Amino acid sequence: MTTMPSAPTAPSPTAVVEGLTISYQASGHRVVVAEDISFSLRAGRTLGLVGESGSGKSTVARALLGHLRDGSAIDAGTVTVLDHDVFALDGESLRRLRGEQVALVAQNAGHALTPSMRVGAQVREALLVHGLPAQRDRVEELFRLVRLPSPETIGGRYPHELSGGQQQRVAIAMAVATRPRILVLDEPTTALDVVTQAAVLALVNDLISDLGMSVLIVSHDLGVVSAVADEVLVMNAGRPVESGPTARIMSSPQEDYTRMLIEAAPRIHGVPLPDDRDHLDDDVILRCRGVDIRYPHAPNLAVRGFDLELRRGETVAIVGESGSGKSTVATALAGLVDTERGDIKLRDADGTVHDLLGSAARRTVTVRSAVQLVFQNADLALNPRRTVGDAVGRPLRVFGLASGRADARARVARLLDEVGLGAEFAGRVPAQLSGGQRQRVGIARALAAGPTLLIADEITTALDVSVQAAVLALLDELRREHALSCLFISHDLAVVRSIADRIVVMKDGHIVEAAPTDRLFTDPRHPYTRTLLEAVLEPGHTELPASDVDEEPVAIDPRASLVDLGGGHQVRADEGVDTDA
Amino acid sequence: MTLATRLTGTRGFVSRLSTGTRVGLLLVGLTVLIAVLAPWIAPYDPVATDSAHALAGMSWSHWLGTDQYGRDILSRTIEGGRYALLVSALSTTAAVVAGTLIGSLAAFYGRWVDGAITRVLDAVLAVPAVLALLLIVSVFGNGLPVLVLAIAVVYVPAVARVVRGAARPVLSSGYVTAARARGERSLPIIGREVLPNILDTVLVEFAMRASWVVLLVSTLSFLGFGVNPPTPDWGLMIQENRTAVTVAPSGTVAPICALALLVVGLNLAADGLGKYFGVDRARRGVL
Amino acid sequence: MIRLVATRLATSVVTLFLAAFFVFFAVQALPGDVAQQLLGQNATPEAVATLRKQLGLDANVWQRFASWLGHAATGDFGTSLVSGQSVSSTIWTAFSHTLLIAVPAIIVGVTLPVLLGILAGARRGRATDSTISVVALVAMSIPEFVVATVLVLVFAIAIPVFPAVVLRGSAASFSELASAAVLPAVVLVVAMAAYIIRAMRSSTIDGLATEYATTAELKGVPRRRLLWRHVVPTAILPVLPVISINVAWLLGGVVVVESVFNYPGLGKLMIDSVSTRDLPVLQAIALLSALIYVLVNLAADLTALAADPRQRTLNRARRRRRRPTLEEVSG
Repeated sequence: MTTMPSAPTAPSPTAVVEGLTISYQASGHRVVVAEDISFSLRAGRTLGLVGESGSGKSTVARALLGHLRDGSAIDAGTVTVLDHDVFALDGESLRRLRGEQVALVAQNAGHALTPSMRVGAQVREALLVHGLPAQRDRVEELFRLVRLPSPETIGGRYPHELSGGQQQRVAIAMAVATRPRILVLDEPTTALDVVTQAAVLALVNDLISDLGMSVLIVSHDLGVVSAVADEVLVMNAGRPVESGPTARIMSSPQEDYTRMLIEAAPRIHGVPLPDDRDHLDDDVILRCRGVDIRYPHAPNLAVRGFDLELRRGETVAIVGESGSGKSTVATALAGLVDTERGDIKLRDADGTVHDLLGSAARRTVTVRSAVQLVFQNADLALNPRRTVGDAVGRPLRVFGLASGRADARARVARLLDEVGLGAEFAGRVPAQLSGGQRQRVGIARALAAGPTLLIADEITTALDVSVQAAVLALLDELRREHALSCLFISHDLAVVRSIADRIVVMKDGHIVEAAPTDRLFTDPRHPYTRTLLEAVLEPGHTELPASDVDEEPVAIDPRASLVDLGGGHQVRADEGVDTDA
Repeated sequence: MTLATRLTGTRGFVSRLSTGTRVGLLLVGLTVLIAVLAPWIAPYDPVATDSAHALAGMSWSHWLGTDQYGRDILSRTIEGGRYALLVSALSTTAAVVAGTLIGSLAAFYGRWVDGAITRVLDAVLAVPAVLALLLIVSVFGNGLPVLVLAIAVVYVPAVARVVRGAARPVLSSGYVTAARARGERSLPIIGREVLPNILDTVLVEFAMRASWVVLLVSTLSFLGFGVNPPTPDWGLMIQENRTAVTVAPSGTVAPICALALLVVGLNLAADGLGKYFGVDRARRGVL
Repeated sequence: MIRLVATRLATSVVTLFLAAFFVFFAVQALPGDVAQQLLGQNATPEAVATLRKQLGLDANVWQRFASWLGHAATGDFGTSLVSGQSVSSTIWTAFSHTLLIAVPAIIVGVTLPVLLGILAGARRGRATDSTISVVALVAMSIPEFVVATVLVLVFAIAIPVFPAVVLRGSAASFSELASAAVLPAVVLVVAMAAYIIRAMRSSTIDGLATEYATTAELKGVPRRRLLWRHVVPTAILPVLPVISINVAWLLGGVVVVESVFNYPGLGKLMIDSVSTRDLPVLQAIALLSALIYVLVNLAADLTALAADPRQRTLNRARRRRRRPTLEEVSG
């Protein structure tokens, strides 16, 4: 359906954007957000607006609703929706247009739904304010349309009582309630887990074909756009780069920027595994046995019976959704939360074996410097009041690794060089760096301590794909040079495929499957692993799993145990799992 | 933008402040300057009585007239801010320093330490400032050290609560987590990682508390428990002269204006600095 | 939910106990012999001994604290050192007079500023907002005694509508007090209003800038409905503590206004007691104000609990699915 070429007798456009240029006023001068953007939307067709952060794609999308951020202004061009120039409409006409003719689904439904109103009332309001009948059964019907569980009663819940996927479904129900002619989806699945994302996108696809709307979907993710859009417009730094039918853009991009975006996107098909899988030492540097972790005063264990072996120079990825306990493992290894039961042993560079159970404050200097963390959010990982040199030099001082100031400065310069920044960055403060550069500083700071074990907790989640690819490459290079062992924590199987030697899949605090990377991708045994694999979206692939999959949680049997299938492949013997070797 | 780059060059700093903030800082600066130079610029001895010229109107010899004892109102107004400003500067500094330390420690340790500190602070807050001071003054008298210490104690809880609130998000950031994982102790972490990031909050806090303390000291003087007559003080002057307001209005109006200008100045400065640093002060209201 | 309320009640009791502790020991720290200090150097040894007995100074300090607290819990604060009357009955009469000022002041002083704050926030940057904001800034810069003095000047002397002072003191009749209560109540309203207006304005502006407000606007919700249905219910929550502290501290302002207007309430009693160093009365008033603080805060917290669906289900929700992230847990 999505790859159908556009018919020559396409219906007349519902919305036309022509030469749109938007800028905002910032400390005395104008900054252009979008420049000379043109496209049109047609009934029953979906246009994908793709770009990295700062490309101006959301600004353009919201212009369709006649909405600009404070301080922004239209410098040139027009936005015509259903034959009206939206920026020439008076207040009341604009209000009637919004929601009734053009509806928006925003990025994070957790923030976009009013916390003090029941979700049923919010959907009903969308009908009421446009004078449409808003009886109880109409709202119920809408909840059924977006496949929410128990549509009769869910309207009485408040937004915070719903899961992220359910919140986004409510937001979609609210948007399509008035049967709008145009639907604008602004990064509709970015805040969701991969499995939920796939289900929500499948729902969107069904609604588009059922309701015959014109759709504009904005995303930074080529995989998302591939799965939904008929046509694509690629934007970079406010300018249009390339546009055309989705299949054509994905298979034969004309512009370098588009090509780069497609190549940088993580994927699980057609990418060769890293070549040097076999030369690993048998030197195990980290061994976890039956580790239980509980947050203080929490009624339930966050992680249960965690086992792991990590060899020198090896990268093991822990993959799971939010709440799977994957970050908790990192927290415990770093000594920031106590383990309740089990055994963790660390062998440092000299071959001495240490216990890795107590909190950081009670560990010896050797152990503390041997385990280093790189954080998810690079914006919060660096002290905004300290220079880069300060941040990278701090571990040298705390662990007494530098002999004197000059030595410290030289080492900082070398570390910054190593992460691809250069010594001149030492004097800068985090505000002067981009997201990718900050993450490199975070890596340099961790390296400064001379670690044996490097824990990377979702370090590329907040980065653009092109930057993500570069940071992953850097991490892999450093691992090889320093014979580092890496624990890489991620929610995305496609991201870890290119760098992990082994993958551990976690759900609800349990390991459900652990295998060498190629085994996991070619022979996944646990249904949850399969669900995760099916949910991966790649540029150029249009299949999506069924649209209500996030309402069928994979059953985890609390009594089941891990079964060894040989060759380092272990799977949890839950119901329906094939445990034959 | 770091504080360092923000403060580089006083000129750059001032030019980026709003008009209101500049007016506020100017008012405060002027009041402080007058108070410091008062002994040299006051035309008369502020406590010298002259019963022959009691309640005189405005004239060239007494620009603002005289009060019921014939003391020169202009001179008393010029000198009238010294005591309140002195007490205010000392006790605000003490309260902000102690409150910052207590607040960051409570935020750092969390759990039961935080709970215990919060309970104690809340108990101090439970008695309104004026009442607490009256209680203390009636027990220990109204000497300068007593007042300074008492006011500091009364305002520590409020400062500590604000600082605790500001420190908590900083403490959950990655750089603090990294420092904890390196095994660093509480005070180095607070000093290196937390304080530089809440300095803006602390500065705004200082300006805001200072305005409160000026009001509190004046109120005490007005009630007769602050400075001892005949020392000139705005609060005391308003109390002494308000019965004669119809005869010699300047005796009441002049100290009111002086006090209002100082406190409006402090409030404008606090608001402006708050906006400049991105600290929403109004949101918190009184705490 | 019930556990939440129970925990909250328990912390209130602890706070009150600690406050009582401070109030009691602040007085015990009086240097030297309390009785000697109170009576002055010229007192006869017999008088000092009598007072020591009356104050129970012979017992050890912890016993005295326990007995004071025990009696206070039953409403018995001992006898006044000056009048020899029961402290509780003295305080009770004064407190009822004070309520005549405080209750109307609280009702007007909370609702009006909340409305003005919402108005200013909704019209941010326009003339209405600037006017309200400037008036609020000036109001918070002028102490209560100045406002009171000015009001007396205008409404009692220049245009004599209300009495400037209560002449007959505590012997005044109800109608006399009622008309005398108007100006003091206005002063208290002005003192409270500024902070509440500013907090509410700021919170409303933040509320209008949220994603959910934008979403509602973009689904065609009219401005007025947007403000009252989507923004205000959540925006009021952070203002509740500001309101509660202002109400709790009203007693501080009461001291000042009652002194200016010579109004025979709790504040006036406090001032008189400070002059005569009537410590049992002072302790009782301080404890009463702590009780008011605790009760008002409790009320604000319970209101927030009732008004905020997130808080109501917080315990349940937390147990069910929310797990702290790495960055949260280290905090």
